[in-house]
Amino acid sequence: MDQNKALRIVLDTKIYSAEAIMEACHKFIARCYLKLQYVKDSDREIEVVMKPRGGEAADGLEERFLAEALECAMKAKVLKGTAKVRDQIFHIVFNPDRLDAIGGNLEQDLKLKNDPEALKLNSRLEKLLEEIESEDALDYEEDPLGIAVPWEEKHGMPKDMLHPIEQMKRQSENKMVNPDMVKDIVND
Amino acid sequence: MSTIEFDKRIYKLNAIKSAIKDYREFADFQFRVEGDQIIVEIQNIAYEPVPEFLDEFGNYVIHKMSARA
Repeated sequence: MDQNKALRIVLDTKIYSAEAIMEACHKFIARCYLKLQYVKDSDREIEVVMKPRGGEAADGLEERFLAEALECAMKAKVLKGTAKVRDQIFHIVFNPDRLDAIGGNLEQDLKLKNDPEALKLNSRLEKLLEEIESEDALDYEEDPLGIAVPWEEKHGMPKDMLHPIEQMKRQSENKMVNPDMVKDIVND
Repeated sequence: MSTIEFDKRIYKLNAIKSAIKDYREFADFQFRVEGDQIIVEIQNIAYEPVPEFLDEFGNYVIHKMSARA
């Protein structure tokens, strides 16, 4: 396509809503100059006139625009279809009374059903909480699993592993690091 | 004087008004509604080239139409 020639795309509003077309156009304003208008004597078809900006490639512009328009139309359709559910979720989230009521209902349901699994889980949780709160509970400072013991103390230093200071000395000998800096560290 | 027509069924008048407000430093704007068209008349454009200015203004109205603007 000629760089200065305008590209004309006609879209059916039964498929692509005017809002979706506008949204797609918005995504192209950095690449093209756009204008939208209804096709003469039609209240169903919208014509999009696209003029690529200087330096912008016109190749594949139509395909890219159509793909974008389709995506926007699809998004608008999904948004419209889920509007009611979304409204209900927002209503619940921003209405604490409703949220409490739902929470209360759930608790009641659980009791009424007398679900053995839920009761088992509940008693186990209560037991665990009691254990944690009791004085007999293990103190983290006791470290029965020896988590806080350093690796070297537990397993000894691997034979091929040098102490960091020794490692630094060797690097200094091989002129991999500044010897003066190593001297300062070793002397400290 | 230059004229740009916007289809009233596609473009919102508020978006055009807002775009005119932001562009008033560059030119003198006047608008009127005729049938399905919103006609914007632009004079004393302090920007060259003028066709580019008109195209940029058209794009800016699209931007103003977006929910993000």
